[in-house]
Amino acid sequence: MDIFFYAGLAATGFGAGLLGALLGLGGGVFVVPALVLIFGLPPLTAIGTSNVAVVATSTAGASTYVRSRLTNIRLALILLISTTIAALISSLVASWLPVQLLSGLFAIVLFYTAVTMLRSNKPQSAPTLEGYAKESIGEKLGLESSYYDPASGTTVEYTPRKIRTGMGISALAGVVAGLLGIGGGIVQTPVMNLLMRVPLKVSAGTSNFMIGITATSAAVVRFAHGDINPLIAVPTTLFVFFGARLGAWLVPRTKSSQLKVIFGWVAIVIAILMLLQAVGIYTPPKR
Amino acid sequence: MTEKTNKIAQTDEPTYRWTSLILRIGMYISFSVMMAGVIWSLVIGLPASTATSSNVVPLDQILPEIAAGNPLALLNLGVVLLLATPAATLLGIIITYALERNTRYTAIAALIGVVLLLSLAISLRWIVLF
Repeated sequence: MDIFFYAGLAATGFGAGLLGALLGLGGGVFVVPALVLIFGLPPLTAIGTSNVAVVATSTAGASTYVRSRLTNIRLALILLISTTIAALISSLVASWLPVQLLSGLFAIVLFYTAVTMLRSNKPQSAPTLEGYAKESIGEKLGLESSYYDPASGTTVEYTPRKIRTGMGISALAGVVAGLLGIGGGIVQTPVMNLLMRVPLKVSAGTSNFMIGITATSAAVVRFAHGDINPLIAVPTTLFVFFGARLGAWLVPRTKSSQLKVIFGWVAIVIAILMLLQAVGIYTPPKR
Repeated sequence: MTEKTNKIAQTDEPTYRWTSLILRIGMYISFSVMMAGVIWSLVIGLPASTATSSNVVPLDQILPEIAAGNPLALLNLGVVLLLATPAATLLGIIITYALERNTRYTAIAALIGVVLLLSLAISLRWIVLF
């Protein structure tokens, strides 16, 4: 491994963190294909590295979200029950799956992410007031809360609903984290916002807090299997973090709609390459 | 302002305060150790075997290897400390809810802690599945 390899890892990590922050995703969705397609690393090494990067970006982001009280810790804990169990089981299963299948699954999730991103750019109907209506389970669990929104100058009150369904679908985020090394925010945030009717800022803050704990349960398994090579994970993680900090600073200064369109089409190209690699048509350089 | 108007944050104030603090401390410590490992590696270089091995230093060998002057062990320690941060956060949540006598959320947080411990136990081969 030479200096160019590490410089490439640093650049990849920085770019992934930057784009991830600008688009509201974790860096994992970019880290895994870059490590597999450009650096020719085994998928499980890429997934383990991505798990560590996800924990790093989540830890940094969550410390800010929790401090500004935009995380609903009680809701996070309830959803984490199914998410962490799913992440643990799927990370164990990942060791036994053929790498082609992992690449294929990643391509499918990337397609889904790209389509979600492109669709979210079109005008959508706002959640109705009925959606924020109180529900007995949410109240019983003491989940009703509120936050001050400086943009509108009002205090927004909410009570999460459809808790059981939310827990069920949240398990998918755990599966994605365990199998593919992605944070799962792409699943978690829409579930909380659209299904459970939690305001978007709180959904993002709560999801950010959750994905660190979810990724940890998967990362520990990858670490034990020797898939987290510190010589790859450390430079990637450090530069994902630096990129994410710059991205967070750039968010209010950038037009997210244009970025989402660019990301959507880039992600579709990456997904096709991952799919071609899965079926053996494209072979990345071996390292 | 946000803090004053968030109902759960008002009820669970110690939990929010400690969670935020533990996350920040964990982030600063683990990143500092990783940076120190990178700088140390650049200054003295890495052992020749690192190009082919998996480079994972077993947990019980990390401190002896650091003492023996192996920068790779310091990089491993940085990763371990980073992965320990969410677990430490969860422990803080369990303790603060327990002190507030909030049995429901103490139990829920403890259950998630058990899952993380299970991950660790499987990883360290305390439990052998296959």
